[in-house]
Amino acid sequence: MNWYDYIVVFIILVIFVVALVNLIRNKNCSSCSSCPYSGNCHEKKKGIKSNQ
Amino acid sequence: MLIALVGNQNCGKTTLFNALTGSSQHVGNFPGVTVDSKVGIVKNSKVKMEVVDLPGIYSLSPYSNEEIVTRDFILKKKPDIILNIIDATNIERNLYLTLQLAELNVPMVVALNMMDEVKNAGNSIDLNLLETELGIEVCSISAQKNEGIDELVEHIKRIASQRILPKKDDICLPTSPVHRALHAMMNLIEDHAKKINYPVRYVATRLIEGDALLEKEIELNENEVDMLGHIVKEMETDSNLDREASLAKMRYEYIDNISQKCVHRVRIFTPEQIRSNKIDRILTNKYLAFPIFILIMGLIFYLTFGLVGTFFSDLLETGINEFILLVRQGCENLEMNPVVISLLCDGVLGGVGSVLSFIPIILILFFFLSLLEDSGYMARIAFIMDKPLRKLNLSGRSFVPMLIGFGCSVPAVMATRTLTSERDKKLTILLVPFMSCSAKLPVFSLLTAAFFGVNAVWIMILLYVIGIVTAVLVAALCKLIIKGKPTPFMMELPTYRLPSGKTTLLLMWDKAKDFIKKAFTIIFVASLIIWFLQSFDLHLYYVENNENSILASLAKAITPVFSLIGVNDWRVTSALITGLSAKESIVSTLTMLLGNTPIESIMNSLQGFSVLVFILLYMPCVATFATIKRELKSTSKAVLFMIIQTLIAYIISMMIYQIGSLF
Repeated sequence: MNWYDYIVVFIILVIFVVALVNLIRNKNCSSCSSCPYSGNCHEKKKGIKSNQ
Repeated sequence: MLIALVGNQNCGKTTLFNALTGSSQHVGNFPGVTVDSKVGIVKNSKVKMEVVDLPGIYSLSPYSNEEIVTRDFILKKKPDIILNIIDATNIERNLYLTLQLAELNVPMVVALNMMDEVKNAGNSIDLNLLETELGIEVCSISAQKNEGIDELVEHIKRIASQRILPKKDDICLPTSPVHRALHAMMNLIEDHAKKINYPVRYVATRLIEGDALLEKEIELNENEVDMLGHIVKEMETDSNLDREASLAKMRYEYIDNISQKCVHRVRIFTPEQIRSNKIDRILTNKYLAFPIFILIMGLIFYLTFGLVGTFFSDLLETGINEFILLVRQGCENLEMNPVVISLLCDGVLGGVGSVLSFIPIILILFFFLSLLEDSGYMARIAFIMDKPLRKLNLSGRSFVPMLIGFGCSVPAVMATRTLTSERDKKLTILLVPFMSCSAKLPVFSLLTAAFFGVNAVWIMILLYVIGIVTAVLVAALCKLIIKGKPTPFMMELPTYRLPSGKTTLLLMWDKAKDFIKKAFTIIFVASLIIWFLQSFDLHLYYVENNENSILASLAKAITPVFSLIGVNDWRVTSALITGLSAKESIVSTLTMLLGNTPIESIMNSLQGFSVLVFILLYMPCVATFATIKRELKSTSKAVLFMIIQTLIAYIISMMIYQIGSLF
């Protein structure tokens, strides 16, 4: 393995960990694609929250 | 400062919420779009103003969950002000809720929306007189055109800071039986109402109307309950009407009086309403409604899957493949490790890219669905579906969540909250996953194109039909098991409007964003896990042939279970299992595991169709499971639903494969 390999593996691992953490944190909605009521998933970022 | 945004369904609450907060919540020309309350901050205001968009309601009676949510919010969260939005083109019906809200004794302002339409019809409303008659300040606005919003915000600030309460609450004639009953009731329950910090008059009217929840909450003793019954009975005898009708009559008499004084009508119907009635004569016609609906949906599916969508999807797929090829060549030129090249090109780019190429199809489908919804046609579909659903022992209300299910099962399951009966709710939750959600689209596109070539579009339509027919059959079966009558369905048909470009583009942007986000989270994670499992053997040695991989060992052990539905290859089994994380994972898994092997070489078209039906009907993704669990408030029930759905999928696919094999 040369240093390019290490860089690629490192980047992929970082994205993998970030994606995994994101999935665990938003386990109820992060995988809801094409949701016509998509507000629920992204509200917190916009300062909008659900009262559910 | 806390503002409660309250109003009838489809009167423009969410449009006003977006205008006030600068957010982009989904707005639809469709009653019941707001399932859950939303909180936002009013933009450009020095004072922090929180506005809560509550679900649309017609009254404060606790008949539906939306009514209970709204009522409880106002009574328990004690907002600083109620912002009551009224559809000015239908002022009489909207004022019914206004009169009930005024009883809550909370500072209040009325926003008269759609005044532009009233003016277009040549009609007018005397705002000053209306203010005097209601005892509440009134602002004229057009939420869609962003007119009158700044003035409204100023009114809200002043009324809330000075705590200006509605000036009139006694709206009944002093000699009427209702008036006598109300005052007797107020004397009876005054202490109880004060104890729980509820307005006395509000509690009295609710008790006369027979609000069992409130009666329980204020803890009347036996004598007081007797007295309550006596007061109500006397009122019913004197007014010759039942308890609810007596109060409704009292309110409508008052509204009629206000309307006669304040509303000046040149025409009874606005031009928009006249136009809508004309269109409805055709689109909701007894004989034409269904053929037109089928024609419209057929055209949408044909354009999405057959013509426009496939063209753009193929174009994007070619671009992605070229990009992967370029990256692979670049890596090889840099003499990188073959395992790392495989991880990057087959695992990451291959997995994520295979799913991303289907974005055009999803965007085009939702472009058309958004046009249908925003124009007002979607509400008509719910209306015409009420009768057939009723025959299946389901309320027409159930159609709304099922319709949403074509987009995504998660919000569809959430939308079942609007169903008043637990029975309807459970049954609808069971049926929603049978509607083909947009996450299944990439899978269907991939497999139908591979197995059926030019006929792919018809197979795609057939899959949608199979989903609906299965839901119908399951509902019919449940009719025999779950007894009870469906709740009545009341729905306001909105006027037809030209779809708003902004709403359509926002919806498409949301779709694209969600899809890309999903590709780089769950699909990315699933792709990497699958790549690892298919690249290494049980001793963690890299394998050239994935037949010797960990995944192959595991999937080969499970594959016999699926043999009855025509699945004999471990790679298809693996894809079906990863589909539980998200349906799109089926595409990325198959792309990775098959490499350059065409799927047609490992399955024939009958097997392909059987698998397609299984994917259509089997248990939904983990996000839907989590939502079902939350809505049913039970893990065991959610698991039971998943088992039932998978069993149904298995039985139907097995029948298709086994019967098909005979020919």
